[in-house]
Amino acid sequence: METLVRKLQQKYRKVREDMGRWDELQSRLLSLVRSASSVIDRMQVLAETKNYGALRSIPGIREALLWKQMETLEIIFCSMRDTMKEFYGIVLSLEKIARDASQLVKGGSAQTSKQMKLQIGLWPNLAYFLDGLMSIYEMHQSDYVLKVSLVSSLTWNSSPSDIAAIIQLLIDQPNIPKDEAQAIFDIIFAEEIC
Amino acid sequence: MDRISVAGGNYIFRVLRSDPFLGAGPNVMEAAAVATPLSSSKVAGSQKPSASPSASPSPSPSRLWRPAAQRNMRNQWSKLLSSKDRWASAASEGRSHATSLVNAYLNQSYMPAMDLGALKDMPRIRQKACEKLARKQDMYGKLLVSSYKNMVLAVAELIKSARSIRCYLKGPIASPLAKFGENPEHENDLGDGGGIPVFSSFSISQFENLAQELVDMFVSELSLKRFLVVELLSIRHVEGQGQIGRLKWSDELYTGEFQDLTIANLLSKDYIEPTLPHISGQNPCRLSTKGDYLLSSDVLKVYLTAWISDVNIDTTRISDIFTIVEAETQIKLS
Repeated sequence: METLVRKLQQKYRKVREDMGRWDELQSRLLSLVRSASSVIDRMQVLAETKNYGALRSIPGIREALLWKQMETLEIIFCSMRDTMKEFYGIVLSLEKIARDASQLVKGGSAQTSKQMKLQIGLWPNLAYFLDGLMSIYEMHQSDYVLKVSLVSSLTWNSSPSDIAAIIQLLIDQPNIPKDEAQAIFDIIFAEEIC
Repeated sequence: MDRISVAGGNYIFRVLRSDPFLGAGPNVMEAAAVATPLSSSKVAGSQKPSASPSASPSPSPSRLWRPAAQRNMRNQWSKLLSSKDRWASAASEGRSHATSLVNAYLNQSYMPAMDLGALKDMPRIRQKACEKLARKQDMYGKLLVSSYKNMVLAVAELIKSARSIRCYLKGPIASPLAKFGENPEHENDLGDGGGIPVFSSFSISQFENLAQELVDMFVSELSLKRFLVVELLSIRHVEGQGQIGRLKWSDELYTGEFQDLTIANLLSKDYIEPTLPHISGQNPCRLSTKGDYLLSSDVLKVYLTAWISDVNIDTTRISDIFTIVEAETQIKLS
């Protein structure tokens, strides 16, 4: 039993690493979205001929400037897509951890449902170990889906208010309640906290 | 070109193809003596057997220019790279000065309506703040001009390197000495080494064309940047004072500017004023004489965006050019 618990705790450590990586990606994504937002904002100013002042006497300047901003935006979108791929990699990894853990427990010595609910000392029961991994995976999975749809809704003609809403939802990560995830870790590693 | 020199050329070409890196080696040089950097047949005819120190079939040692041309090519390209970097840092300094200038200007224009809270009872507070912001604009304006000057000098360097790529024979026809620059000592010396590859496949003119392509981008961007500098230095004059005291396109931005611009060929034919900016593939610019526009913060935003956009500079193409040159000259430039 003890070795099994140690192995499961090991899985949680991996999950923690993945979540740390997730946070890094999150801040990278946010800074990309913010740059995209300022480019889009700039493009809206650039689209208006009346904003060109003296530059109006240079034929083709508007098209050239808009083209350059488009290029910049395309590069940002490209890195955003790459970042999303990395998010997906984490989702896959979390799923694999949850599945492996489940096989470890159920496949090993054919645990009965009674054994699954058995609680020893400060450790939660085995079922809790598995549920925790599963719910962490599900949180990230659904937030990934949300992020994909938010990121793909961002285009060069998104309105400033849309962009603000997108950024807010990305910051909030409504599918990943931080305190809930933390509570799971607190229970799993209760002995280390004491 | 007559038959003999064509045959000789082919022969050399084979030797070089078999090992292009032997270019500087003594064996190849001896063999290389057959070919000539002068492409005209007149040269082949003018060669006298006595001019040759060796007993090779064709008696000119003039292929000796190649090692020197290779050295020169590497030097000029690494100079081109560092001048390009000099441009980039000057442009980014310029951008930060331009931004500060615009911000100081905008703050000054917001000052009358600004809510100063508890400070509003201080005597002449607004006026003092405005004076300070005006001084800041002067300062950033000067800094902007100095960044612009650095950009002009960077472009002049680029041009100098691009014009030092050609390789001319120095001294008598058969002499092994070469010189680099724009002016031949001999008539009919095109400076392109007879179109023979300098390293493995590019001739001198091909290198020169790449350098020219690079230079052209920076020259046209310089002209656009100058336009922006003139406008940014004039923002205070658009409102209020109108056109009085406003900087004109034909004013020198710093002493000696026009002389520097002549190098870049950016002065009009009559040497009175710089040529106006234009976007490649578009009609040339025509200055309107009156500043018939409102200077809103959006206009200033467009100016700053125009500064950072480098519309005439194709960065992908530039890195391609340097990659090509690095591969061809077998050195790492950066």
